[in-house]
Amino acid sequence: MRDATDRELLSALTRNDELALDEIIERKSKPLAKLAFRILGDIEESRDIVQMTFFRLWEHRHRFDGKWSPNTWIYRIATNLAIDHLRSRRSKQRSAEPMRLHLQDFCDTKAHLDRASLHNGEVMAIFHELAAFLTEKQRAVFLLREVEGLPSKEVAEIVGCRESTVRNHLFNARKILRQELLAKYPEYAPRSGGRA
Amino acid sequence: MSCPDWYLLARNRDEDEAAWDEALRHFDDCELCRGLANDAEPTLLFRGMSSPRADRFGSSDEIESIKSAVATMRRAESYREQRKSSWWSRSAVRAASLAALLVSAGLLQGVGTSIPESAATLAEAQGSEVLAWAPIGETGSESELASPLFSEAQSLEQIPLVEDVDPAYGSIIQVIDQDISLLVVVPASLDV
Repeated sequence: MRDATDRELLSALTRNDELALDEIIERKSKPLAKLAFRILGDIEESRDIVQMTFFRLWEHRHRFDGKWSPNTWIYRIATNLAIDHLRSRRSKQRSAEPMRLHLQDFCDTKAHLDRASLHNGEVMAIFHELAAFLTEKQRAVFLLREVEGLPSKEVAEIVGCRESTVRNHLFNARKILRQELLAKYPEYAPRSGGRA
Repeated sequence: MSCPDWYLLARNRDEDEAAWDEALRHFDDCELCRGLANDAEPTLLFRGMSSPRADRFGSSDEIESIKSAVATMRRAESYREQRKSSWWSRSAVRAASLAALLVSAGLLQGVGTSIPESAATLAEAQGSEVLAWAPIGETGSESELASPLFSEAQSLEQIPLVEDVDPAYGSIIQVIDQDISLLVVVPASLDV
């Protein structure tokens, strides 16, 4: 199983091969957890999303279409679950509140930090605060394209829309993030104020 | 790749995705470019962001716990499926039994030879002749209808008749009225 390609593993799934599922879990748990965490900003929720993704993958194993790349198929399930989860949160404010409280602690001391020394976790915290102003789709598209570095075509397949819609979501997401970054964290915004 | 014009690239990033992606690979390795690129596109701040907690995710213990959780979900689902399918097969048996009962009841009513035990017992206790159990107007004569015995038996018709059936199916209650015969099947689970 360890030598099998992702495509071969998905194909084995359709033959009810449970070992193939275990191997997929080995390979994909970490990247999926990262993606889910970037979308949700909560490690426990991300773990739940990862588990549910593999369960859905098994449940819908016979629906796998060979024209998809295995990663696209798996990311699609995970992204949709994460988006649904985000939607189920009562309000944007509620979703942002824990992060805001967390940020309060480090914002008090961040004046002396420069951009280069920003800890990764802090950048993530800023992102989650600002991302509360994005729609679920905008957030997912931004992360898949800008952070995961997937091509627009694949992002479109994952979130289930056209490439032009992906570009539209991206444009709006960047615009909102730039504006909010400038307003809330001017010390991290560019000298020129960006091109917003 | 030499250091690019980030402002130009940022303006055309959606039109020329490949050029932007190539420039980003340069951005990751070039300290000089980082500041300029961030000026041109502030959201590059979030490129490659990660969280120490999310980065630590993926230990062998965690992977095993995910496997185990997924296996549990699969077993639970499979159990639910089995229950669902056995419920359908049980329901099919119940429906067939009910249909058979209804047909039998209909036949008995139609032939007019079935005498409910309670009515027959009452007639016997009063020393009367066998009482014909038939719908009014079919076989009953005017004198039969007028007799007090008949009206007593007729009043018994109004009393719901409860028959014990297979415990799995609960009880069947038959309510006979002048124009209608109602058969109610009560599942055992209702404990009526």
